[in-house]
Amino acid sequence: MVVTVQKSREDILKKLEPFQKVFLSGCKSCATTCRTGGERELKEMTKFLTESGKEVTGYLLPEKGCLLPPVKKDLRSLQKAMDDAEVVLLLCCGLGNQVLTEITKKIVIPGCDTLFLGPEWKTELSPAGLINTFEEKCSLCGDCILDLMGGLCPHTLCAKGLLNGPCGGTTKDSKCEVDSDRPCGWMLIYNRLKELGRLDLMKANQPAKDWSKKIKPLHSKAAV
Amino acid sequence: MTFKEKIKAGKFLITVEFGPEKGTETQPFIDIGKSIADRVDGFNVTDLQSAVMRLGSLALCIKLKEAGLEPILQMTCRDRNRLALQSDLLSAAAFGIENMLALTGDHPMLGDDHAAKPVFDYDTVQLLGAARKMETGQDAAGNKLAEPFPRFCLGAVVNPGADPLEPQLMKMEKKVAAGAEFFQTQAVYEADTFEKFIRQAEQFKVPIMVGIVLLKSAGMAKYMNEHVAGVHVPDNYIKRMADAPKEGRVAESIAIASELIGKLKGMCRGVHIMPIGWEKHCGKVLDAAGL
Ligand code: SF4
Ligand code: SF4
Repeated sequence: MVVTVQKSREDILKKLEPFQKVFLSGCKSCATTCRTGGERELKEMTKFLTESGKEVTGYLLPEKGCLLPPVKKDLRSLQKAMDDAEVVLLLCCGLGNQVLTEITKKIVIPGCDTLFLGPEWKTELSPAGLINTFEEKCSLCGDCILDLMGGLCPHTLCAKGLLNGPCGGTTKDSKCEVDSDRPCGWMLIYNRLKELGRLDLMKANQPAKDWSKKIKPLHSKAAV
Repeated sequence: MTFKEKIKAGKFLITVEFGPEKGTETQPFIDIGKSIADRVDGFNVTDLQSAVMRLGSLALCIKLKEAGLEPILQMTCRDRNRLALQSDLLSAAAFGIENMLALTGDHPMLGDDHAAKPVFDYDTVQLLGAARKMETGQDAAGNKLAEPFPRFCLGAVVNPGADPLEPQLMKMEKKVAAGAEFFQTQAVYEADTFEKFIRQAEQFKVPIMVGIVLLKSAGMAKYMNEHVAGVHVPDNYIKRMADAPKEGRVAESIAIASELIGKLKGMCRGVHIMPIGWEKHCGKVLDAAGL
């Protein structure tokens, strides 16, 4: 899942300052799960913008904001609302933004910041209700080595992306030198491999990453 | 004799660490270095220590070399990709600097400009491997180097107080396999911790120099106990620093350092003194320790 957070209301209003008529868009997938651009958030945003003196001409909530052909189809029935708007405010990820820009050729203002790729990891009951936690688990390195690391990604869980074991900065309680709230990724890997009886994997020399596999922009195809 | 020759000859090794300023001044280091050169086998120059932007290690190493001293170039993986790291190794070699100590480097979040992009294209094992490969006339990608090929004396670091110790030892073994010829340790204040480490590290048959950080105050000791991984200053040293009158602190710090050196030097191949700003007192530490 692409994990997003909404920009502050203040930032959003600042970006919308030159515009009066706004078309809103979100996404029923990731942005709904992250509570950043689902039905509820689009309604809240419509209310907020209206109260702030803007006019919301309409909104779109596609199944998946990152699939260009279906989004294009969905937009047909909303053509007038889109034409009436001076600008689009998008409550989903940078992918959804570029899909909409490509289709509409309008300025699409990002109402969210796209943070990382990660699963929904746990749901906990808190005084504020059920809270989902999303965690960054993959840095899209283009050459997956999870099998050598006990299923824990060193590119992502180690703040330095080290491949041959921990730096000297692991704290006494096995946290990372960068942030005492975060576990040291290499201590996680070490403990997991120890549990699995596979410390031999940690002893193996890992070559440096081949970054030529990540020359941007990448593309890929799949038969339908 | 070069540092490498001294390692090979089995000499007891003494190194001192210099931390460049956030500026261009180098003369005080050269003067201090000259004053103790007859007793010191190598001068480490830190590489943007604590992730703080400052004068580069290579610049001060060149100045030391020109003054007839033996520099040890510290290189971290934080700020340069593999091209820049290898290029700086060639630059060092071109100035006759062959000693290089590989470190991961503190994360920019620990330094004075948190917005900087962390690089870490290589880790220390990979950096050591690249340096070794260059000696054979090839860069890391396998491209040919022009002769004369560089020669290096490669070192690395290890933290004897890390808990658990096993991951440190595993990485140490990889560093030895990649080409590390000597090790300098993180600060040690407890002989029994160091002894336990040495017993396990002996198997790698590589010279280990114990790290001695000069205590500057009780506050610094407490700070290290709380924040520096694998370092534990026992209460009696903290108390001695706290009880020392302000004008007697340097003397007390030197006394503690020389006692530590006395206890630890028999267990390893050398002493690495990290004065953290008190470079000018290194001579007195050596005097007190009888080195
Ligand atoms: S190694 Fe890590 S960053 Fe690379 S693909 Fe696998 S999970 Fe993603
Ligand atoms: S403390 Fe652990 S997670 Fe943090 S940079 Fe060092 S090895 Fe990586």
